[in-house]
Amino acid sequence: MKTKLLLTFNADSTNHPAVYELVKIYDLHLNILKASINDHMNGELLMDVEGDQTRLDEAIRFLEGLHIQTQRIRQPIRVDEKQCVHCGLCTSVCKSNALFLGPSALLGFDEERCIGCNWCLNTCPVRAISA
Amino acid sequence: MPKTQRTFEEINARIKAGTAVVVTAEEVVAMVKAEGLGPVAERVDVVTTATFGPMCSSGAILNFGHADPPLRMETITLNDVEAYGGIAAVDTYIGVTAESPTRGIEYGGAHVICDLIAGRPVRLKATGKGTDCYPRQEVDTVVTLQELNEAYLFNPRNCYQNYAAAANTSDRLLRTYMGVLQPHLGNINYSTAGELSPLLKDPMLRTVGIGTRIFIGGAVGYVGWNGTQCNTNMERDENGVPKTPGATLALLGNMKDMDPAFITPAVFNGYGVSLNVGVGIPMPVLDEDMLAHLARSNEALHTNVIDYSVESRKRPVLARVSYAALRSGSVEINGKRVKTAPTTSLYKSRQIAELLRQWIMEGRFFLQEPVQTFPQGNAIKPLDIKGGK
Repeated sequence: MKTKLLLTFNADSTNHPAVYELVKIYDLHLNILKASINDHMNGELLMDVEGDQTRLDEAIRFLEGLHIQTQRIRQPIRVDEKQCVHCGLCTSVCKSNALFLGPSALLGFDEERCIGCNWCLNTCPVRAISA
Repeated sequence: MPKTQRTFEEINARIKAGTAVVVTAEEVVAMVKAEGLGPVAERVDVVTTATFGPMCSSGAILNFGHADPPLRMETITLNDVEAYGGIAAVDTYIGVTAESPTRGIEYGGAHVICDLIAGRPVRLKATGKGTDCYPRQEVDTVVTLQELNEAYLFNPRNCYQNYAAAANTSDRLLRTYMGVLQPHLGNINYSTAGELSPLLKDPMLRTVGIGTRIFIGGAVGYVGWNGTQCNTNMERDENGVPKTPGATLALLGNMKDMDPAFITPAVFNGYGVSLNVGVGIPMPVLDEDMLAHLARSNEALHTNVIDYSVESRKRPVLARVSYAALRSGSVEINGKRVKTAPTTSLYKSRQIAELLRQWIMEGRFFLQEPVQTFPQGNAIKPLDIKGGK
C-alpha cells in the first residue's frame, strides 16, 4: 500500500517526534516531499508513505490522537484535457517532472511522481489544472 | 536546368486545379534534409507555418447596434470589464489585458472575447451624457456574438519574430508574462514554435505584408498592417534571421468565424491577462532562396536568453541558444543545466499548420500576395521621459 499523506500540525504537536514513531512502531517507509513550519510553530508535512494497510490505518489513528490532522492525497492534481492547450508552461514549475511534454508535444502527467506542491495550479495560463 | 521560380498567381492556379503540393514547415525541414533544395523546390508549392501562444497586444472591435432611442456609449463594460468609449456611437474596442474590477486577473478582456466566440451571452452596460441626437443615457442588457453587427479581432502586435527566452539571475522569484522565473537561473521559458514559427521562416518578410491572407483563431483573416514595434533594423545572423526580436504583425479576423479551440484566454499570475492566439501563415515557395529559409531547422534557428531580473528596457543577454536546445528540456548556461519550458503550444501550432494545409489542398484557401511589403530599416524608438521624473 502506497499513498501520499499531508500532515497538518499545530504548536502543541510540533515537538513530538511523530515521524520517528511512524517508522519505528508502524514500520512505514517514508519519503518526505515537503516540510514547512511558520513563526507560530504550526506546520505541514507532505510525504509518500508505503507499508502494510492495517499498520497505515493504525498510524493515522495514532497521528490523530496527537492532534495532527492527516489527509490522504490520492490524486494530487488533475489536468482537464478539454481545457489544456498543451503549451507546457506548467512543466516549468514541476520540480519532480510529473508534468512533461511527450514526444508528440502533448502534455503528460505521471501521477506517481507528483509531490502535490500545487505550483502548477496558478502557473497554468488556461486554468486547466485543479487539486 | 533552370532553377525553380513560381509566382503567387501560378500557385493559386494550382490550388484551384487541385494540384498544389502543400506541406507544413516541419515536414519541409525533413524533406530538404533528405533530398536537398532543388528537388523539393521543384515539387512543393506552399509551406504552412503556425503558432499558438499568448499575444498580449490583442483586442476586438465590436459594434452593438442602436437602442431605441439611441445612446452614444461613453462608458462601456462587458461582464464588468471596461471597453473603450471614445469612439462613436456604439462602436468599442476591448483589449485583452483589461481586468475585471471584481474578478481581477481571472476574468479580463480576453475572457470576454472568448465568451463571445463560444456563443455565451455577455452583459453590456453603457452610459452617455445624453444629447439631442443620442437622447438615451444608459443601457443594461445582454448581447451575444450573433447579435452584434461587427465583431472582429484587431490585434496591434502579434507573431513576434524571434522573441527572446526569459530567465532570472536574481535571488527573488519573478512572475512575468513569460511565466514564473525561478531565482538563481532556476529555469528558462521560451516562446515561438521554432521551425514552425511564421516570421522565422520568412525572415526578410518577402511574402508577408499588408493584405496577406492568414488563419487566425480558426477563421480566415488578414495582415492589416505591420505590427507595432515592428523592428526590421536589428542585427541578423548569417542566414538573415534576426538575432533579437524583430518584425511583428497587426492581424484582423472575424470573430463570428472563429473556433474556441484556436483562441483562449491566458492568465499569468503576478502579471495579468493575455490571449492565446492561433495563427497560421502559408508561404509560397517562390524559389530556392525562399525554400532555404522555409527549410531552416530548430538546430539552425537561435534566440537570446535574457535576464528579466534587470529592471531596464535593455536587459542583458545571458546566452544564445538554438530552438533545438530549448526544445530538448534543458540547456547549459555557465556550466549549469537549466530546465526549459515553452509558453507556445507546439501541439496546437502543429494542428494549425496541418489544418491550413488541408484548407489549401481542398481549394478553400488561396494565397494573397502582399499589396504592400513592410518598410525595411525600421528601428523602434524608446520612450524618453522629458521634464518630469
